[in-house]
Amino acid sequence: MRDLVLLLLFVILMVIVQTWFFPRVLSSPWQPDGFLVMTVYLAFFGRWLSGGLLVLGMGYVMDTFSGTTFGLYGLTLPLIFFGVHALIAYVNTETSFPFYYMVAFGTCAEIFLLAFFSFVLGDNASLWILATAELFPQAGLNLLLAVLLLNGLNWLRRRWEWAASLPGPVLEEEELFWESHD
Amino acid sequence: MLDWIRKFRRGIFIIFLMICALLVYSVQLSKRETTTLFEKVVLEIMAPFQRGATWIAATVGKWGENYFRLVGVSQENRRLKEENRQLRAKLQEMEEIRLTNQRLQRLLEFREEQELPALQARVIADDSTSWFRSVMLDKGSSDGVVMGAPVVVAEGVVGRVIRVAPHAARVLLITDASSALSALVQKSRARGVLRGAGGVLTLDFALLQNTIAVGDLVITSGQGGVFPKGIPVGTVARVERRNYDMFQTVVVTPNVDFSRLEEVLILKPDDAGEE
Repeated sequence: MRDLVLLLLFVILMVIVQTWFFPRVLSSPWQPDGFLVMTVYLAFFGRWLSGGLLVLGMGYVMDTFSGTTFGLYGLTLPLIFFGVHALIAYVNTETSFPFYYMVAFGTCAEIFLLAFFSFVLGDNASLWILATAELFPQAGLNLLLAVLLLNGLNWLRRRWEWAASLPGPVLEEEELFWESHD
Repeated sequence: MLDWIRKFRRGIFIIFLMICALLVYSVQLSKRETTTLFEKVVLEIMAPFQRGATWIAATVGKWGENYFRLVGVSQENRRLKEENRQLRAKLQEMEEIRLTNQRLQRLLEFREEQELPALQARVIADDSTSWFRSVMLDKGSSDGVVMGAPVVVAEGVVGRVIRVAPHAARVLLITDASSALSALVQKSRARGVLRGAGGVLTLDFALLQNTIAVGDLVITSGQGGVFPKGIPVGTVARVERRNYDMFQTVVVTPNVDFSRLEEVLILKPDDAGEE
């Protein structure tokens, strides 16, 4: 029950940040894609089944709050999730660097998949043009958000016991603030 | 057989999940003009939070403004500055009211000019991605908003409603890459299809023999079945003509500043659809 409430609060927070906070604070045509960064994060540190289902749900929420046909992100985000999940078996996950380049890879994969499905199954051929022009600033913003997310979540997990169960990189015992103060 | 399924259960599940996701998307492609139950529920849940976020930001902004003004005020002139500040705050409040009034007045005049039944709505959220262009409004089907309804402001066309929940609606902006509307250049009457291209629009299928110049106003032609005729859309920003082409390349800057959208008018489709 607690996990479900936390999950609901997390999704509400993500939607507010993505549809309200970023557009007003950044006031630029580009904004970091929090859902994509979260997808890569879950692929890296989460379980494949629960993570995959959560990403599918996030995709459908994203579809609801974007100008796409419903189902496009529901298809794209899980594909990225399982793609990254398959790739991490071949990378060194002890450092945070692979996470960052997977975010960059995820950004490229996302726009390729969105443009591909829109073009092949839909009728939005001009997304390609927009995508190639906006790929680099988008990747940069996503990387910046990835740095903030990874460090922010690690700080939370070190600081509070309740956050320790959140998916993330393995933390050393001496790093856990809450354990040393028990 | 069971061993085989057990061995490859992860792969089978992933393929099954992806096929289901692909099916959902394929089915929705053929039913674009409908809002799914999932979307309705999520939009309904999120609308109060997004309205609340707008309200909190306005309140916090006001407090923040007051706090920063207090910093550095000396004891001697505190009273005078306080008075001054109050007057300023009132003035700013009045200015905000005046600007809102001005915007609403223009919307009202525009609405009267159009002689169409229209519903006023507020923008409460933007698109969740950088690749698509849409906004969320605080009015929904319980207020009479229907799918496909045209959305305008005094400056021109904004977009059309693509999703409706009882108390919220999502509007696809004309700058979105999947958006297209029938338009004509006011001066030369050259017709074409305006397509979104991020921040600007492109006028496709404008014949080479038509004279189109930079600065010409582009208006809706009324032929698309969504927007009434004669609503301004944008101004021609660039024209490229090549003698061997059948059409010319026309780039149009939209009249509406989409980053500053606050209040909009949703036109009733029954009347708006009349060409």
